[in-house]
Amino acid sequence: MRRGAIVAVAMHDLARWRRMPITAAAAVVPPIVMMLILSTLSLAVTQQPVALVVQGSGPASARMAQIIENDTDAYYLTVTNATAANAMLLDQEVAAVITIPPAFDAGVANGTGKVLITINNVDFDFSDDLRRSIDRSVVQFDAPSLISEGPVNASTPNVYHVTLQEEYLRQTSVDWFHYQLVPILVLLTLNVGLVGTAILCALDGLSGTARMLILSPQRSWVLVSGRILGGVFVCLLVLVPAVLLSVITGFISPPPDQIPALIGIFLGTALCAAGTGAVIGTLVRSTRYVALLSSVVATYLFFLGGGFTAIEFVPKWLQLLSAFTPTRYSIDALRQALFYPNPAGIPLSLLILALYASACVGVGAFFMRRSWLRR
Amino acid sequence: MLVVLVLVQAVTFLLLVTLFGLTGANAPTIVVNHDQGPFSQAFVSSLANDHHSFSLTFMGNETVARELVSRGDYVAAIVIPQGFSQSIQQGRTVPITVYVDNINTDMTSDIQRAVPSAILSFGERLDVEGLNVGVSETDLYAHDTSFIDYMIASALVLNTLIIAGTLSAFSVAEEFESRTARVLAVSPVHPLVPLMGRVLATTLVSVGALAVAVFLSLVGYGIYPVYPLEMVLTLLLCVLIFGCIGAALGAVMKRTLPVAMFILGIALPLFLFSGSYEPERFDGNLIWGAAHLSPEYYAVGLMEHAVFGLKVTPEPLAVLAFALVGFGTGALALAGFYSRRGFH
Amino acid sequence: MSENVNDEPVQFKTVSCKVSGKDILKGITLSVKRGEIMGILGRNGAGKTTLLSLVSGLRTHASGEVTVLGERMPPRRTEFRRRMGFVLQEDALYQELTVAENLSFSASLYGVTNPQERIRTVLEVLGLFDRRDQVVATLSGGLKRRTAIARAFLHDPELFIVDEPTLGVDADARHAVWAYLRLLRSKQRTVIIATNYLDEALALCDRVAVLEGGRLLAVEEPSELVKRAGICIDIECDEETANRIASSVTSMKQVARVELTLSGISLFLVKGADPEEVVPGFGRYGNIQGFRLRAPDLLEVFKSFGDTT
Repeated sequence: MRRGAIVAVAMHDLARWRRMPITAAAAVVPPIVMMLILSTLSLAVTQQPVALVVQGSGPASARMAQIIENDTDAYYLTVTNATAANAMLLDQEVAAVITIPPAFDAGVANGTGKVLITINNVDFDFSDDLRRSIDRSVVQFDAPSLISEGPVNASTPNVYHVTLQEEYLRQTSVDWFHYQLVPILVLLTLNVGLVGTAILCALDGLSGTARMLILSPQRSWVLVSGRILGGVFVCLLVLVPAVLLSVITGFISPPPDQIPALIGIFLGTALCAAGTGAVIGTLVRSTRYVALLSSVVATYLFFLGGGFTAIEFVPKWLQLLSAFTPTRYSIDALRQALFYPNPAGIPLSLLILALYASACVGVGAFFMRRSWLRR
Repeated sequence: MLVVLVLVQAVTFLLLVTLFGLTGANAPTIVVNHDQGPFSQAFVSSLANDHHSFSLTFMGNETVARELVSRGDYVAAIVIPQGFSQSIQQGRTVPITVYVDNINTDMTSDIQRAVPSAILSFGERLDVEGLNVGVSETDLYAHDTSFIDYMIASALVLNTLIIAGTLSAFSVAEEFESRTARVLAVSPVHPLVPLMGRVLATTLVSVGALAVAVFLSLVGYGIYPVYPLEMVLTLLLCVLIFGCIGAALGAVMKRTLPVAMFILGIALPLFLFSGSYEPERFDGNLIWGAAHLSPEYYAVGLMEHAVFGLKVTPEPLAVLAFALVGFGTGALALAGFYSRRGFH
Repeated sequence: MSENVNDEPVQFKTVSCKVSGKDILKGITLSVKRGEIMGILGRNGAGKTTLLSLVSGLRTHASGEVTVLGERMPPRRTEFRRRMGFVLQEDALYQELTVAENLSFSASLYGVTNPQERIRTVLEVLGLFDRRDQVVATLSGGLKRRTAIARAFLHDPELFIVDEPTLGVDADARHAVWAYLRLLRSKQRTVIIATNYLDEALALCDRVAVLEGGRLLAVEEPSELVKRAGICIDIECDEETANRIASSVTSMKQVARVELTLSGISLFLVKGADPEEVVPGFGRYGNIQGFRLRAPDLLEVFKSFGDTT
């Protein structure tokens, strides 16, 4: 009977969502827009638009130009003349103009060659990116062995007397867009599961149906569990197409042996999101503020989970706070399963998500009657 | 309470923006210097001063450093071997080990560029023989603007959208939810008149709330606007315009719960799309063209000029201001249309 | 107070209740007989809804004893709520769902067997079958009320609690709701309704408990209440005439009390008094435009209890 009631509450909530298209759209549209924007920005986030003006005519100029043109990771290059390049710079079509001056070859011959760069230094984020890139190109000119795609022979001498032995600690490298796609899926879950579930609880309070639920012969934990299950169903209804679309379009390629883990992580994330929403929806007595408060909470869960920035860059106290955030485990586990072959840590993440969701059922059930009776 | 919650969300976005700004520079990096000689010190100095590339932490144990990087606590670890200075002195080439957390190609690429850049600086500092090429830089602005400061200025636009847009949307949507809008619809004045009243009222409240966010931003980050009056006027204009946009959304959606979710959810993506972290045209003409559909694009252009004297859009300031006013007028017209239409 | 809970499914023994620190109910002693419709009559703020909340378990009493269907309140087991049906003051329906969907959800919460068949039966009885697929938000107030009653009836409970059964509904819906509540009584179901409509109490209730300021003033048949208040004579005249009439009736034993009104004066007669003995001769006091006889309204009934504040 209790199992039937839990499923009945969940299916009932699904029916409500079906009848609230505006609210559903308000939950789903923002993460989708974020995904679209990130996908377009990913085209631009690593490369900077730069104009290259080659005024020198000797072999050194040609070699320098070649080095710069080959660095397609750093530059979105337009090769043009000085006048056009200047106009592009002022018109903000390019962030910088790199000029190989007429006297470049002569300068190289006597050790005073200079590559000229004019930067629209609006802020130092992309300005420094450009400075590092041009420095790298210059280093490559004088010490080609320092900048190599393949394994570096550490004993090869160069004019800087320094070589690099780089060790990449992860077996796979993930590009920025795919790296950010994972938290967007979590954001989608947060918006639909957390904010959506909180709103359903708030609507119960607004319409008085909360009292009817309390007056029913079902225990609070049954009602809360049903509400959370409904939230999970709704999350899955949105997540499954989003994930399938991502797979079909090649945005993500889940390793076959990680699929069970991925399903578990998505389910756990949906449970946590819906659980948090149920707690907020039962605790907050004013329906006016539930949407705002749940949006605020979703935002914190998102960025503390590492959805917006790499956690390494945030202050230590924030890193500590992040360790207590369930979405951190969702995002880390998803990335681990999707991108890095070593699945260590995924079982712990799943356990933490399950414990958190259980705690939400307990807290929600404890406060449900107390809170809704006072409405 | 509503104002407090909206303000909390606005300040949260300020925090988000700050954190995002942190990732643009100063990658947390460990240095393990087994040498401590003059050349290793010079190399470390080059790392520390290299275009805001590294935030250095010094440790003595290479194994621990590697472990911390693999755990994701640091982005990279650079190990300077013993005998580094002596080898350089004797003209030999020394290998430096760099452990990289290649969690994504963007971060990896930053390290791949930053280390050679530091090496260039190191070589120039030592004035080594055989260096044939250097860089000569000219900047359009006398000094760089900090990435975080830049983003804070544009984030004030985001805050304005959240505060003014949400409060205004809420107040209009509530009229429909409580059905008092029906009374307005049968009154002898056009529904737009009381709607404008709502917008003006929420504008006043928004100004108060925004003042808190502005104070936190400017005082907290030590930002002193180049054109303070222009900044104030820009913010006031943004409050009014975003209030109108909020009113339009409230009239269209007619429900407080979804309208609040929608504005909060759409604000950040639009913000990223609006020249908030660099001139939008750098992202290509297609994206730049699409950005013109966002009122934040124009507002950010005005704000960056007001706060830092920067020109971040090709369009002149007057065009940006007129475009914003156009958005506001259009939004009001939409609100008026839907406020009538809602009762048929 | 009977100890037989089968005969009296709801019992209050010197019950007091506070809400937000304020005394809402004071020393209520009341029992409801099986198979009767008990009305809780009172003005706004008298404590009617609070009393019903104590029966339903939504609130907890501060002192005294409340027993419902043999269970001491507040209940330990939620299962026993299966024996109760509730119609709250607000409809508490899911506005975005259809009538059938609302009932279907309730059926699953209350464990109704053969829910589809039962829903059909209930909808037909309440004249809602044709509206089963209509979204609740598009229904009139009366139909919403009927839907709320249908939901309460779905699991065929022994005890019905109905707060303001016909508040805000039209005459047709009122008639339908009353007919349905009488049907429940005929099936030996116990019904407690809270109302501030005297005519509703007269039409439906076997007994009425009168609440004022949280105290129980009386428990009697509704017709006795009206008789206690006495017939009312409304006289339309000017103020001077009204004052003269008021002075002249002070010694009349047939007149219980007098009230000056905006249109003249109202005279409330004692129980059993004949208006024919009172009215003749008033014409000498001034110009009388008209007079009429009527039953007292709710406020006038309360006033017949004297000053109770």
